[in-house]
Amino acid sequence: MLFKVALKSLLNRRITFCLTVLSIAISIFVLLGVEHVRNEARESFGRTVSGVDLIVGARTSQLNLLLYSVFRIGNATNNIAWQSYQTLSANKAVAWSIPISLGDSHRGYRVMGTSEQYFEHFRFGPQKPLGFRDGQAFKDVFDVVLGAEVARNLHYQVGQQLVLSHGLGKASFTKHDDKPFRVVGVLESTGTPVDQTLHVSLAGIEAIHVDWQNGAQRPGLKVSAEQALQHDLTPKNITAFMLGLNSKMATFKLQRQINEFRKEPLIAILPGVALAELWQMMGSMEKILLLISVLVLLASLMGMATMLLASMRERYREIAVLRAVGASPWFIFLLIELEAMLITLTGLALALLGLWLAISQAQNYLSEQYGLFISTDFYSSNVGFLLLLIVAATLVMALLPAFNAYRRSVQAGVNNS
Amino acid sequence: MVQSEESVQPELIIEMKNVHFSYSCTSPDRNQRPVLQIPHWQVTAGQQLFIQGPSGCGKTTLLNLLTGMLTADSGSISLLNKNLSTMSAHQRDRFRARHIGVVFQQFNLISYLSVADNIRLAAHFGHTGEKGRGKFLESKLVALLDQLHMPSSLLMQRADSLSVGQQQRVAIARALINDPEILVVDEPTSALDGAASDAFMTLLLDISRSNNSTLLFVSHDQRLAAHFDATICLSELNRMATDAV
Repeated sequence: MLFKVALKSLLNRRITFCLTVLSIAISIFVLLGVEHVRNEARESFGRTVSGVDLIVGARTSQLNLLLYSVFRIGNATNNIAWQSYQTLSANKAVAWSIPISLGDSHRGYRVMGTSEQYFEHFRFGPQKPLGFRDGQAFKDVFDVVLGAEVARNLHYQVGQQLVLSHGLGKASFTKHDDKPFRVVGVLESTGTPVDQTLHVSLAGIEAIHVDWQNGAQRPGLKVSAEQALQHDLTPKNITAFMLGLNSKMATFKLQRQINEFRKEPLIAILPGVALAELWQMMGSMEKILLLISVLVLLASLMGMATMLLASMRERYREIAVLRAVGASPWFIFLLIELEAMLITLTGLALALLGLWLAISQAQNYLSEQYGLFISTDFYSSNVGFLLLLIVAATLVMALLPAFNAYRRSVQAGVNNS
Repeated sequence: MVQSEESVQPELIIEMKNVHFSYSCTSPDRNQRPVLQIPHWQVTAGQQLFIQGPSGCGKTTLLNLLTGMLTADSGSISLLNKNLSTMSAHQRDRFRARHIGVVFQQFNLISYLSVADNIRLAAHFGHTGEKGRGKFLESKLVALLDQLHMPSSLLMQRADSLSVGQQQRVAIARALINDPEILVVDEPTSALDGAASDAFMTLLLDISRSNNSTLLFVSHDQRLAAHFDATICLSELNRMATDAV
């Protein structure tokens, strides 16, 4: 009966009810959205790379190296000589190494030149290796292995041919269309930037650039795909490389050796440390965002309390009627609290629905533009805690109008005129 | 059945002894209401009593005391041989729901609920068990409305879509749904015109008699007194009224 009266009373004031629900829904949407994206981003960042002890690149900032080597964001400042890579990866402490060569793209997705080692040693999430959904690793020079998202969004299958573009633009004018690649494998989805990468061999990268110099095709000197295969396809440069060590104990020693490498200026970073630093940089920002969204929610809950309080004046008669038929003052108190609760819960349902829609719409865009993988699964423990907090805040905010009604119902007596 | 056997010796249904009441300083309405002091007053079961008094002489206060919404500062108020002053607030609320039906001047119904829900609400608080639920309650709703000359099609309508006269009759149905021993009615005809008022009075008296309810009818309108067995003037009852006004 209490529920029925509360519901009908709210529906009776449809317009204020809808507006209040809407304002609460928007603020909960913002709060949960910020909290969810925060959690997911941290998660997504943390899971992009694991099992790699050191990442090495030309000297630049720790973050820049991390961003271009792992997240495929931004560009390398300089290349590493193949010779340096050979020297360093031959170090006794090194168990395996993965060379990385970046700079080309295919319809907005980045192409990464690497070796078979990559499929063997690269780990993401909780030490998970890369798996093939279809096909296998590249063997020939003009073989390409696609990340899950590339294959899905561009509808590529094993056996199809594609052409790489020079540079990183989505609409690059300079295409390596004289040397098409054949899809030999598609990786399983990882929820990391690997999904958006096309993987080719270092020899493949070398082959498409045989007739190129200083970032442009040499005029009058065209080398066909068959001719390119005759060239020496050992790379002269790579962009970066990842190292796995025999013993973690050697990490810092090797890092120092690399940082002090004589032949060229290099930097070695620990991915975990760099990820944490990156996250810390965004940390203060996310905290401010969270604070703002909490304040927004507080404001709308106050708006709700004001709305209920303002409606009390016209409800004194209603209270008198309820008292006359035997409702206790607590019934009146609970009625107001329940109305507040119904408003918040409706707003909450709307907010969750909206959030789900928004994230499923924005998912692709976020992962393509920012390398952020935001899932629509927002029932993480932290969000659950926030929901409890919202419910509690509602009950507290509704105390004011509820006590007003309670006091009125104790004092006024059976008199409604 | 029980009631008819006992009616050989008239049963005391209301008894007030040395009741004294004044509004405390914190009450917002203290300036409008006089103090009430009633040395002794009693009403026997089945009576239809007209309580007359000009406005501002403590009628509403008396009703609030009788229905247990207010408690006397001293003295005792007993209804059905139960002393209200010794009950807790919650017990008084339950007692009111179960044993007293109340009809106001107007605005008796919760506007956004249907007629049926308004009456069900009273049944809900009456805690009458089986009788207050399900089919039993629904057939009682129809029967009551029929007694009050209203079609059962009204049940599903919103209360505020009814005319004032219809709303007042629904209020009687609502007041009687728990078969209360006492029916308290406060100026119910003030919002009705002459003819409607007479029809309403006849209906009210008939139905309260057939329900064996004791009727307390409060009004300033002397002309209505003709309908009743007995009339009492509140200013005679209340020794303080003359001083306070």
